[in-house]
Amino acid sequence: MTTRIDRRFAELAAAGRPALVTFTTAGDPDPDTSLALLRALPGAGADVIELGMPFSDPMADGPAIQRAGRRALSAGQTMARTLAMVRAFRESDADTPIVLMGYYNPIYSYGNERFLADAVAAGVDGLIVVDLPAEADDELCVPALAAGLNFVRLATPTTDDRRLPRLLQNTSGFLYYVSITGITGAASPDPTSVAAAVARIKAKTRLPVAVGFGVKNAAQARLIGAAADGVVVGSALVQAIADTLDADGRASGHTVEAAVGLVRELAEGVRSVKKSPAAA
Amino acid sequence: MTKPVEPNSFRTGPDENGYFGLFGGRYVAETLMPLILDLERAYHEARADPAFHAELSALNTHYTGRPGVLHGNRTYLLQDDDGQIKEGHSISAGLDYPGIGPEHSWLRDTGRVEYVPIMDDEALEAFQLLCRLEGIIPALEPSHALAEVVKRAPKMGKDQIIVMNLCGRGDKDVFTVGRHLGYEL
Repeated sequence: MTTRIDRRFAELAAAGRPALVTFTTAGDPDPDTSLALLRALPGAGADVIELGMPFSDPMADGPAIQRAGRRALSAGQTMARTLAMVRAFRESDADTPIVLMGYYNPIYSYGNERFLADAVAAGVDGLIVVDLPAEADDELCVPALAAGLNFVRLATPTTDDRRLPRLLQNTSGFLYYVSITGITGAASPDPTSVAAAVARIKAKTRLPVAVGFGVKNAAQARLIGAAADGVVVGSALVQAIADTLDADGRASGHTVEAAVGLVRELAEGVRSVKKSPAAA
Repeated sequence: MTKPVEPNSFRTGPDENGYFGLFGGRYVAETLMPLILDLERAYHEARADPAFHAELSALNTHYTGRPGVLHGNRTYLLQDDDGQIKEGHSISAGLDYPGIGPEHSWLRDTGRVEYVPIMDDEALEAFQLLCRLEGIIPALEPSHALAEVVKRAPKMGKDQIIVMNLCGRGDKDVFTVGRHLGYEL
């Protein structure tokens, strides 16, 4: 089954450049601003959109994304609203892939079957569920694949050659390589070791490899993009949103524009990478 | 030779003669037998009693949350309708968590164990009671169990016995308790 994610990565491989994958938290800082930003992302150069499902206990995330999640939850974000946001986005964009990223409990609480059906109906293309390891594939991953969604998994510098095949077994869409051992938005990745890691992973799979955790600006996006099929930027984007908020955490007139501006810069970085076009 | 019907004897329990399939026989001091038989009877009565189940169910609704997944395990969690984890609270550090051990969830669901809520002040009372009466400083965690003993014992016969597991020592908790009682240690 070909998904929007598969098609997008194939197009970009044929064009000889990496994908810019953006992460924002659904409902941050409020539902309307968040949707306005979501709608503006493709035009600014986001090739794949990761939309965070806020969770009270985001153990893989650094302070920037933790705060974004808290802002969204205080503004009343729920799973139903996150799915409604995707539905609203799909009314005007039929091609940009959307990956919902988050933690398992809000999905489990919503009901796995109901969640998968509603996600597919809303126009979601893939899921990243940080706290579900390959050992729990029967829980959500296998049903998600059966429902036609991609299930994107994270690999880290500590994922060794014994673990990698297990992890790849049911991964689809792309593999998300976490470039550092740590939380989101912490240290900056080193392009040389990222290139080596991507090569090690690509020896084991035909899936595109996107690299994230710690990419903050256009120059880094360019360097990492040269070594991978995609660059994920999350914390920097979420921080750009945070920097525009007033003392009470409310959006100002230029919140969307600030985030969009950073995405444009990042897109320039990613688009300046020239690779030999791969056969799709 | 009889064959074990169910490999999981914890779930099915031994038969009325104390056998787990072909293994068993009771290996218990004779003097404890009447108590054990009483306990068994009470257990079976409670299991069959709709009022008991109603009370248990009410307590579960108000105090023990519902199954969820947090920190890599599925267990009963304090959470809101959208699966966001609620802040737990307990005076004892060991109980200050929005979930419980997964095995407790299972014991609860299989009806083997009845769980009851105890408030901070009740645990503090029980802590002081044991210090005064026995010269034993309990940890704050089992002080909760002791508080339940204090509630139940007066309703029981003089010849009925309660076994309480005092699983920790309170020297680690004296500063917490002192603070709550208004002493600077």
